[in-house]
Amino acid sequence: MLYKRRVFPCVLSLAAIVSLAAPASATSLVRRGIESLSRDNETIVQASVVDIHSYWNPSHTFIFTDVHVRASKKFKGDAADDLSFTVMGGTVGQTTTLIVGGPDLAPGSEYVLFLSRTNLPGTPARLTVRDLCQGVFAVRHGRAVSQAAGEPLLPDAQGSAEAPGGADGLPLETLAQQIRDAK
Amino acid sequence: MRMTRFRIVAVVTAVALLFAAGEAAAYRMIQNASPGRTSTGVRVQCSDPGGFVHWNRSQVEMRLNVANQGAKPGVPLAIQHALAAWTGVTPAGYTLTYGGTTSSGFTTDGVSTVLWSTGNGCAGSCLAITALVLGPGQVIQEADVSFNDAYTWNTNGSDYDVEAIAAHELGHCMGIHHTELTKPRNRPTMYTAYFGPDGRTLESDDRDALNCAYSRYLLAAIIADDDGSATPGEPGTGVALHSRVRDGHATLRYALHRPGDVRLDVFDIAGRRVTTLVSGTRGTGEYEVAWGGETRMGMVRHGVYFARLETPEGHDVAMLLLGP
Repeated sequence: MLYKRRVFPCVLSLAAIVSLAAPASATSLVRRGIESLSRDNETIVQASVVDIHSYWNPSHTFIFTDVHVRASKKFKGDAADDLSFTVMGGTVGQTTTLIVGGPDLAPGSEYVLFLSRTNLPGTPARLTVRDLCQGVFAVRHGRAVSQAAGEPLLPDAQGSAEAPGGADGLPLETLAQQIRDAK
Repeated sequence: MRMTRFRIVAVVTAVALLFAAGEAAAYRMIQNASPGRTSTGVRVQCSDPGGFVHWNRSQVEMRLNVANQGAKPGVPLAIQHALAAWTGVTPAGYTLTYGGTTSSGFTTDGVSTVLWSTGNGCAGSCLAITALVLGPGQVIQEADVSFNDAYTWNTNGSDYDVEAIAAHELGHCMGIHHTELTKPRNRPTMYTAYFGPDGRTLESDDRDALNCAYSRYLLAAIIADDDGSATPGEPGTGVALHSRVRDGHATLRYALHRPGDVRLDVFDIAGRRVTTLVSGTRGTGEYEVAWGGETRMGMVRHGVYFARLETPEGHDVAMLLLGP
């Protein structure tokens, strides 16, 4: 997977570009902060993965995985308490489809998830983790750690090169406040 | 299969060298996460005991779907150049070939495909995405690359450059994850973000990664071969390079079934060519070449080296362990 590079001109120029472009590709930044993640995703929840189910699509051309989660907090959107979304890839029998840079979700674990509808192979407008690893924060000991932490992201307009919270993550309350502020 | 004492020593030495090199390297390989969770690529070092995704053959064919911006003039050539960049890595003997056009898509159909689409889970700041289809043992069976058709793609060196990004995604197709190098100049192609047409050319970090994959998997097959010959997943190519090392000297043996140009090079474990033993036309017959570590710059140090034979009938690689 490859992301666009950072645009290096000054912040003012960048802000001008941002103001003219569409939200989904508003900037050429690699790193996505909480603000842009919150703005560009329609559903944001803190949830535990109840189970996952990988399967071949009906035409047997792609493996998808449906992720069933139970939401404990809803930061954005009107999702049900029991929520399912789909990610590309998974394992069926002896075959695995691996998506480089995709989200990593394990049953029993808790995450903050940034979800939106987008087209997946052969299936339009599916609820999914559109931002791949940047759209998942693992919840551990009251903190949320981005799955993009450790990835060598390029700086964004504020000069931050780390995934939000870095390797230590953000306190959940801080993350919740940032999401609320972004809405 | 019988394993001689020499080969046990060779394996231990080669693995030790690889692991030592791997710890200091910035490149990372793609490891398949354990079953029971969604499948993404975990970044691991070459020496990770869990291994990483890899091909079990040295020939990898990619095809181009000419829908959308895949139909742009220059795209096939740009893809071929990107394939050639990885083919040119030595001593790794991978050959990435262009198989022409296809109607296949981002699907599991046995056809490794490069295509342009807006519907394959690559949106927003994602320029391109790679899906790897794996069989048992993390063996790659197919690799598909989907470019984000929402962007305007170019082949003239302006953004966004097809060749540069194809080179990057093909690295993923070969089992290589994003490098941890973050230097501002001479960035590896496997840098995590697009940095213009400079990404067309590989850096040493990229080459080390592919050599790592080759050494850990295909070379393992070579080493395990009872007579020391190299047949890395290409039976029937009609060419085989046999090696034997005694008293610190290597003997390399090969046969030609028809006359043609022959080249026999020796590389160190970092992929640097240390000497060329044969370069020119040879007739039909069997040949033996001796090498005791001599180069134009003097004697090489003891250690692991690779000999690569190229003939009109194909190519082959053998490992040499020069010791006291």
